[in-house]
Amino acid sequence: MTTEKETLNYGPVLFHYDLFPEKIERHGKVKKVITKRGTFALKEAEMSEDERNWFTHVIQRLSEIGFHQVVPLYPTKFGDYTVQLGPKTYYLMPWFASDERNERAKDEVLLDHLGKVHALTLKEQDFSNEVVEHSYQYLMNRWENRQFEMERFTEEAEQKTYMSPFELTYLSHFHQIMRMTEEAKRRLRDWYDTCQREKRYRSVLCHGKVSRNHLIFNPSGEGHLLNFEKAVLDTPVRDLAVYFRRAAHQRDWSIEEGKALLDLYEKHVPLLNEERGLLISYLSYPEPVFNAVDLYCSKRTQYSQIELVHRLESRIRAMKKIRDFCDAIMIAPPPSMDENAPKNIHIHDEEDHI
Amino acid sequence: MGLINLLENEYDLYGVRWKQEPHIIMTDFGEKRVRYWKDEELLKWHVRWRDESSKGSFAVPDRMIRTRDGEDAVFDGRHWITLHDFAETPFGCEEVERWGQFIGQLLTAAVQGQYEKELPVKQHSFHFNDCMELAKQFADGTFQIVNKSLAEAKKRMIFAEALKKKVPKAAVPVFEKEIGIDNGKRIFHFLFYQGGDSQPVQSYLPIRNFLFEWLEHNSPLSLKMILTEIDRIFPLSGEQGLLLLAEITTPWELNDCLQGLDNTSLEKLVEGMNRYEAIWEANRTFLKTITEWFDENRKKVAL
Repeated sequence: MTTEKETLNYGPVLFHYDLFPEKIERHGKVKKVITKRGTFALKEAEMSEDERNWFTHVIQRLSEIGFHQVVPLYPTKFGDYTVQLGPKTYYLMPWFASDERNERAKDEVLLDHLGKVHALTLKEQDFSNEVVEHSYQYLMNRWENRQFEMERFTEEAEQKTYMSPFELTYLSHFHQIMRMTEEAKRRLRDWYDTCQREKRYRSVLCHGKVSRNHLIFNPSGEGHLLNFEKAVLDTPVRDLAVYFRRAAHQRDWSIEEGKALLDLYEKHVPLLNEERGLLISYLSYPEPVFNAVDLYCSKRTQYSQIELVHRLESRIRAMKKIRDFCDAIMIAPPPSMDENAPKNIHIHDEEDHI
Repeated sequence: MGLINLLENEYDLYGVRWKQEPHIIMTDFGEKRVRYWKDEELLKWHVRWRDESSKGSFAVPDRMIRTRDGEDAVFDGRHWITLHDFAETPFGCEEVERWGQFIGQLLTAAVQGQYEKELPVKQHSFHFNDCMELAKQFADGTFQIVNKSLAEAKKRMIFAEALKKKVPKAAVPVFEKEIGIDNGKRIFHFLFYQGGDSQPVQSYLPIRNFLFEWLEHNSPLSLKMILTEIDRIFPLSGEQGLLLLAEITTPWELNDCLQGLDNTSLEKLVEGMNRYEAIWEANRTFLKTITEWFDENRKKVAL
């Protein structure tokens, strides 16, 4: 139930929409705002002015280039698409109730939409050695630094007479983790060499935070993407890596399902060999495992040992699934183009490009 | 098509009726103010300062509500017409922070906006010789306050000129002619500022007058607090602070004091002199408080 305080808190925001809330429900960072004029979703975010401008540009541009499966933003009565109050940014969307009947199809719709967005915004970039060099060096340095931190954690753990259950679990998988790290680095080097040789790379509009939670179905059952706050122009592999890494953590996720979803995506944007290699590189790098170690080091007093071990084991299990998935997609033949797929997926025309 | 119909169509409103013709209407979104503009350039300036000074602030000026096509005004063949929110509950002076944020944001937008390039703006200048001419008949030594104030005014004027000379290249911001506490209204718990439609002025005088009005309603401590709040948003330690201080130091009130004197009868003259003294003293307190704040602030920086 809405309290008077909440009405006052969100009043200055909803004033921009001439809405007076009858009830406000919290759903994480989204507030469900029930008013006489309808039910709305109010999202709270932290964005700089540049990020706000980019975000609204992305939403408008997607509509202009023909992708309408995005949850629309309502303009304020002053014509703005976001409201800035102090450090917080707010934007208003229609409220779509979750429909559990569509939950099973969510991943398919998500990858299909992602493929469409990528296809509509795909652009072969003019080769810039500086950009490729910077991207490669930046990522490689970051990965090597992280690897060094993990090796140091391993050495410290090995010197202990009595290791904690977490340390024992980590150490028993250490060599495997390092093999995956090396594999990721090797694939990254391969991508770099191919870019240098072929003098090409492609960019698309990446959603930036691909997740099942960022797809909702409208009352007529049509899936809509939302939360483009972190959208960025980057390799299509970026979104795919985020999606598959997250998906592999689901207990019932299978390699076959992953392959089918990647095939579905590739009906819109068939990956180039070097992009496939880059995807394997991103996926192979065991960042989620390293993050579990970080959490153990920094917040071990806030969680029980069993919780931390479970978290680590779950990530190692996912990593193994990812490794098998990478093997599977490496040997998979390129998918045939569907007759229904868009014919012209490379949009080189400046007019049509984000 | 009548104005009501035009507004209903252009703004997607229903059941519009006059509450106070021709300025306030009732709509399904509450009460709204209608403004009429003959000068399109002036309208554009008013749109811009309102939009710019609303950014990020918990204080909201009465921005132009956009039409269904996203336009900031509609043309009825004779005027440009704009629609604004309207509120009547005074915001008061208790929430110094909110006022400080708003004035700070207003100053930031005015300096960054470089509005002076967009349309002709009025500039005010103080003429001491005109005051001397007015004071001639009262400056024979009978009225000490006049002699005293003239001497003080001259010193202040020289000081103000010296301050301005320190920052010869600093752009003087452009504001609405009047910025008043009464224009601050309350919607929910935020400050809703109802602007006007006057020609802008390129001067710190509107801010000076606002701060003076603030002191009339509040204590010297509160005046220092609002300066501190303004300073958080719009630093007053640099060139713009000096320009503000120069405007506050300029003895604008001398002209008002002298204009208020009437020697047609002794009674009127005494009444006028009492008023003169009261205004002069109030301005002395104002200037003293402001200069104290600047000194304290400078010391803080120096420490």
